[in-house]
Amino acid sequence: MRFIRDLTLAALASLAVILALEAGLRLARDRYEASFYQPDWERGYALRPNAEGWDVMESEVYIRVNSGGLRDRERIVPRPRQTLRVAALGSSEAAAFEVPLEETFEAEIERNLAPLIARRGNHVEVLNFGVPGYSLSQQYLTLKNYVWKYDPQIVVLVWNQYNLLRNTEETNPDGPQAPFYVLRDGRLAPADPAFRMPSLRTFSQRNIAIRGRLADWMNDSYLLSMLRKANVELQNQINGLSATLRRHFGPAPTAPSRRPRDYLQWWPYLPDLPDMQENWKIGEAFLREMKQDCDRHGAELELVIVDEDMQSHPNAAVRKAFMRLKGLASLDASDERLEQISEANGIPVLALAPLLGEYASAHGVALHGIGANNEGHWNKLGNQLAGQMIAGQLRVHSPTVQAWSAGSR
Amino acid sequence: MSDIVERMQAVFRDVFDDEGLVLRDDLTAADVENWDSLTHINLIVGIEREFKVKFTTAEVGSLHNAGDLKALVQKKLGASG
Amino acid sequence: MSFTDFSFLVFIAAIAILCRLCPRQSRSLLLLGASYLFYLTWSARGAVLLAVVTGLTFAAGMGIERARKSQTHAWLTPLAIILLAGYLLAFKIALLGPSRGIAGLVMPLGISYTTFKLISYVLDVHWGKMDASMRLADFAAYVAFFPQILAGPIQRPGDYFSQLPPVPARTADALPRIAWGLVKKLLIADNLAPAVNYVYAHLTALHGAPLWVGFYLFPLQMYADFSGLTDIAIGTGRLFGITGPENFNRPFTATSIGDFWRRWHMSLTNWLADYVFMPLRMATRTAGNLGLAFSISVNMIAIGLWHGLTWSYLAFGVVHSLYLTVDAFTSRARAKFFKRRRKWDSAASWMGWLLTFHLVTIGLVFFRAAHISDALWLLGHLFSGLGASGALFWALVESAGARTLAIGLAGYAVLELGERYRPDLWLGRISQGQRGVRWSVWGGVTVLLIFALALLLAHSGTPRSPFLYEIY
Repeated sequence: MRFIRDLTLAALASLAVILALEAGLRLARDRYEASFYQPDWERGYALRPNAEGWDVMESEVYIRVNSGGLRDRERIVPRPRQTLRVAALGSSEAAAFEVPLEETFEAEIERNLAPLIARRGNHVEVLNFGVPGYSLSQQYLTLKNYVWKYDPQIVVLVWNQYNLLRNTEETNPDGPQAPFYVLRDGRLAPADPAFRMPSLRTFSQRNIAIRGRLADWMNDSYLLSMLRKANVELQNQINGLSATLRRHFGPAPTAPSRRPRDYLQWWPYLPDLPDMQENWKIGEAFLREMKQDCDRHGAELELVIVDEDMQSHPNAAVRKAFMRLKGLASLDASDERLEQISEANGIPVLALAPLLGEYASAHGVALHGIGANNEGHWNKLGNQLAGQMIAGQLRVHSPTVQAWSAGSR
Repeated sequence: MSDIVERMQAVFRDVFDDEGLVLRDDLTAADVENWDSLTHINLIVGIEREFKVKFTTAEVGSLHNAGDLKALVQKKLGASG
Repeated sequence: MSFTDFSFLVFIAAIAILCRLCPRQSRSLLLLGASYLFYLTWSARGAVLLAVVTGLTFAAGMGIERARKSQTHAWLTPLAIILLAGYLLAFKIALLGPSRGIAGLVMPLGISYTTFKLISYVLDVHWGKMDASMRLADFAAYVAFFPQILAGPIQRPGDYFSQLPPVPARTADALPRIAWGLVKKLLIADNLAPAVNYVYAHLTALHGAPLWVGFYLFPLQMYADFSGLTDIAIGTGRLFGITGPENFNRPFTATSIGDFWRRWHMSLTNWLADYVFMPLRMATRTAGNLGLAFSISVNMIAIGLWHGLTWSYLAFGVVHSLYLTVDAFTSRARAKFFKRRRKWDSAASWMGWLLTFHLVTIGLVFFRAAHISDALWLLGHLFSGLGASGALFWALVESAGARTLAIGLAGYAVLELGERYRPDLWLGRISQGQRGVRWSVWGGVTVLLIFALALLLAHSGTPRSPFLYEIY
């Protein structure tokens, strides 16, 4: 009996310490990245419906995923009457985890277009389909299989040049987390029709649901979020250690890498890198496929090119120094190439870099990240400006918006 | 013998400003409030003046307690006559 | 590998296990091998250099002892000291323009610590405090002892060799010390860094409120960082059976500057007291107050410059030599003054504590600032425009995070309480208690250890780890 008593005492003491640690972490507001994702049958991963928690990567923002798996307000699935719907498609810029929902560029576009079409009781909705880290293949699959049930009339593809890296296995910076597509006879086809995320061991709906609930529960606790992050880092450390061991003691690689390690780091400024030409071709193919998909559904496709950090750096001296260091004549070469491709395919395109760069220089403000380095994703001001500029582009170049604003919808 | 102890005690009391200090063989810096590396040298100087002896750095460095100091003083006095 | 890397924990776990498995006589050899292996993860060239200097000093030690025993003139001792000091100085000079803080001392790894150990060995043998006859392997292990090579403490040769062959302490005694050190470093020090760095990086753009933040938080950051590293060092040493000297004894409870230096970075101040101050003071003891002032100044300036050969470290040393000189000159007068006014006794100790704390904090401004002009700016603008500095203050909070200030406010209290009730100090007493209490304590401690380990891991990643692995 004493044994049971002592055991209970020990358990209670441990519980007390655990609660104290949780309280301590909360008091200190020591937040850790929450879990927002779940495996996805064909896209590799996607946002987990109803997940919520803190994103702490660049700034601390509380993120909520709606029941449809979008980082957005709840949206009714069939398009409501008298509503103009714009679908914002893309990766982390579109998801805009770095700012609260009301400060995303999608919300800004809504606010900007609303008065324009408010006559006759019309509404405008800009839906956020962005998912951080998404490659073009994932964005393409999202469009094909998840966007149309919301019936948008306009699709805005928010294009980050960096994502082109993810188009081929050779240049992909991270592990396999998305399906790869290749060009066969000039047509896009999945590289591996049987692609499934390698980390999925058992794949049943119930399994996903249980793990999802566990992840949600962990998001509610500061201590568990920290433990989750620790576990992720542990995996990284173990992988790192085994990679190092393999390098020193494993068999020599058959084809030694001929490129220096940071060869592709400045890729967005160097569109003519030989290793990236295949990526460009695949990127263009995706663009064409998406255009065809939009045409099939009677929707407009607009392309918006996100600016790289250096393109909109407020300090001209820093930009010049960077260009000198990398031997670049211009920072806009990739954007110009993409603009040509876009126009050749009949897709209206807006390159944000010149506009945002001009604003940043004129006002001496950083539109990316926190602090003056201009590193990271769009901050509050960046989102606001991007939203205004995209809305401006739609007003001028989108027949749909013009029709709605003229009241002739 | 006791004369040495008494004279040493007087020096200790003066240097550390403690009229009630009692000199024991195992007395160390931990036992006396003002005894640190700064006042230690004041103590050494005081002892040297009182007994008209001179110590070397090595000898001072080897002292662990008041008993060691007493033995050192006796050695110095015995050696000189 | 640094102390807060996960791979370091794996490394010491492996060595600790090997230590317990191998026979007592070979443990020194194991520690020697582990220390040089650790050194190699930083620099192979440095390891060779260390080995050479160690070997030469060992040989010199034997020569010095022979000279002492045969009472012949010891020319070897001053030669060895000059060479060792010159070796250290040469690297310090080469390091000019160093990175701030503890990291700046590591190039070649731990040169300040290893050279000081070698010098103390030479002088101890010269003064007959210890014999030179020992195994080269033991000596080399002492010099290169890896838990003490990154941030001290500076252990004396006699202290180290008296613990050979090493008997590993109970893991349960050593682990809490390491965990507490990690918590201090990762949870307190690293969280204060953004605010302090912000203030010192934007000094000339700030005045008033934010400067106070930098002023009061840096001592806490320095203490948490350094004492945390010391805890890890001592705890790790104990895992292998070598207990290092303490470096900190609740320094912010000091009631006078002299008292402060008996509580802060104790292994360094004791080293300097024995090998610099004592010989100097002995040589100048007949020169009265001038000799005292001189000895104190050399000692404190040495402490300052030991951290780096910059004007601001020099200023730090000068400031503290002023403090200590005034303290030493007036101590008798002050003691007499307060003896006559017994009623002022408790007020005096409070005032002494408050004054000492602020004197130390002022000195640390010179320590942290990159240039003396920066330090003077901070001190000079603490009160200017105080009322109008609200916006600047909030800019600091926004940049560094509100968490920093929360930890800053709670940090002092947590640190002092933690030091007073440090786990490994009363854990021994607990093991004699009732089983229920014992199990509760072990349960709580285990939870804390897991928490500390997880905290270490959680902070070890790069800021933008690939979130691929974060799916669940």
